[in-house]
Amino acid sequence: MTEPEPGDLRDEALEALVRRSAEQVRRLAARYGLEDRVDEVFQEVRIRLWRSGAGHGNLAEAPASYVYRTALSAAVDLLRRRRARRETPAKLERPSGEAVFGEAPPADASLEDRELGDLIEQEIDALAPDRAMVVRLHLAGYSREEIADLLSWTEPRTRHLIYRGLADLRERLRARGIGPEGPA
Amino acid sequence: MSDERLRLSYDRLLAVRAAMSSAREGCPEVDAMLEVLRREGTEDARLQLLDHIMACPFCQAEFALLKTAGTAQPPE
Repeated sequence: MTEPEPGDLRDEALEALVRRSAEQVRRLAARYGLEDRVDEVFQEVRIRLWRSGAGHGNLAEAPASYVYRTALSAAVDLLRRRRARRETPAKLERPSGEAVFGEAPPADASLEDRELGDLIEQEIDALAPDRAMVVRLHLAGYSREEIADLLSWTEPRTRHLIYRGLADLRERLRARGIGPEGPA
Repeated sequence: MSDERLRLSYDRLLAVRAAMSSAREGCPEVDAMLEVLRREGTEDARLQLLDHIMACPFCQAEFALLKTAGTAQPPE
């Protein structure tokens, strides 16, 4: 069976729904530099919908929820396949947009910069476990609401732990001679 | 130190780590990441997994992909 081309679904409304879903996921994934992965996921979504006969009006359930569940399932399968093939991303942006996997650190990234990163991680490891967790999530770019949701914690608790965790981290870094602008 | 500076330094650390090794030792299975997203299992187990995920550049990216694919809803 030959695979369908993008946009080959017979139902234009369904194809429009898939495109809108892909755009929404892509906007969220842009925070992590994952747009290319999202494109792969939704190509797989199209293939699965085509195979299920979705483009021929055979969907028994509401198409929106079906596309949503299929996207997650396709993402899971994509990651499993990559792991089985021992594939690692050739290039993947970090949330700050400054550092990219698969590339050597920029030439102007001094030894001092790299040591600072090690130092920050050491001090995060030394924090109380719940504060360390929220600090890592915060530095990875997750919002306070996302952190609270992910950990099933209340928003006030999460807000307090982020505030205290970052304060503790800065205090520990100051004790190591790392001021507001970096190493002294 | 500003949030931005902290984030940049931490990002660079993880990028260097990723460039140095892609062995994926100790990384949780994709299904385990899904359990974290679905809030399944004990809180301790989830926190332990998240602890690794957030300190591992590869797991962090995979987790973010699952999270975005699993939470986006098409507009009404």
